[in-house]
Amino acid sequence: MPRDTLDEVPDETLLVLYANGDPEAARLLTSRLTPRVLGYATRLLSDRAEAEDVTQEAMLRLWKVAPDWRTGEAQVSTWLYRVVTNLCTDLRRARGRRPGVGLDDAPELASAGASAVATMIEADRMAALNSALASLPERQRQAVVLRHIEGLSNPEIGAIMDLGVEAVESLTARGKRSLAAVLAGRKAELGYEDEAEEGV
Amino acid sequence: MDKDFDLDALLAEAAEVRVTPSAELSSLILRDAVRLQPKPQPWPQPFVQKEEPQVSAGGFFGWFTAFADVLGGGRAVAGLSLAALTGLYLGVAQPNLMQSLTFSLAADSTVSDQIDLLPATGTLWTEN
Repeated sequence: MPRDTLDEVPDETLLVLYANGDPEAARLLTSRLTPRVLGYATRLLSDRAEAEDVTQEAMLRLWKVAPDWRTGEAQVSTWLYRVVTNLCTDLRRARGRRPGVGLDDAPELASAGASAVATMIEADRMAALNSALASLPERQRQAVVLRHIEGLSNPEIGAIMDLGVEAVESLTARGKRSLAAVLAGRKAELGYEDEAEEGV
Repeated sequence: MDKDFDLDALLAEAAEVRVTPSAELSSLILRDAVRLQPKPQPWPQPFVQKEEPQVSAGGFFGWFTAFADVLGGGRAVAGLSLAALTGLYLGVAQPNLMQSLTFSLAADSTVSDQIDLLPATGTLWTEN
């Protein structure tokens, strides 16, 4: 099927087309879903190489499940987030360590037109945020990333994490409080201290 | 919330950051997709009934073929013809075998009972 006609097609339909042998559907699903999956995995693992491995594995599972996909039961993106969450949890447990975060592990910025200084400040800020996220307990980090960065609703997060909506709300609120507490001591990295001093 | 920074704004800023997968990762994922993609299934072909080959015959044979088809085909016509000829033969030639057979069967049969449905009434007219 021509790519132009597939641009507006939902992920679920594309997956059915893929299962029916449409090669263009595979390309479109890859370009749509890989950035989201990789971004989420990177924020959970704080390691780009590991996140890429998890992304490839999650997409591999998607291709495998495509012929048996039951339409209307779950969104493709929700299913993928769930797979990535489980893969990241397994990976961290298997390696038995807490992630270390460096500037190199921060997601690559794609904002066009920003000045070099602004880009550096933004990169520092994102690195500080990722570092703070990595310091949170695993479930809190997952909930905060899914809710406030990936922009999912509480019921969707509940489906991904096998939790009720109230538990998700509680987890997210606690995660945000912990995040604020961690970041409060890193205002310089966030670029706020200088602004505060300039304002005085 | 901390007075010096807005956590929601920071998280919103992070949400705007788009992570770009490397070309190598994308090609690996696509390679997996192609490897695991089910082969397209051909659409089922509609059932087409084979037509009987038409025997083209002209003239008398064409007419006879059409006539035989009306009667049920060549075998039916052959059967009808045989029956007709047999009947004609029995009717015209009257073979001795048939006569003797009929006579022998009729001669052996005897009337065992006879019912007189119309009794004689002549005696009623006779004066004694």
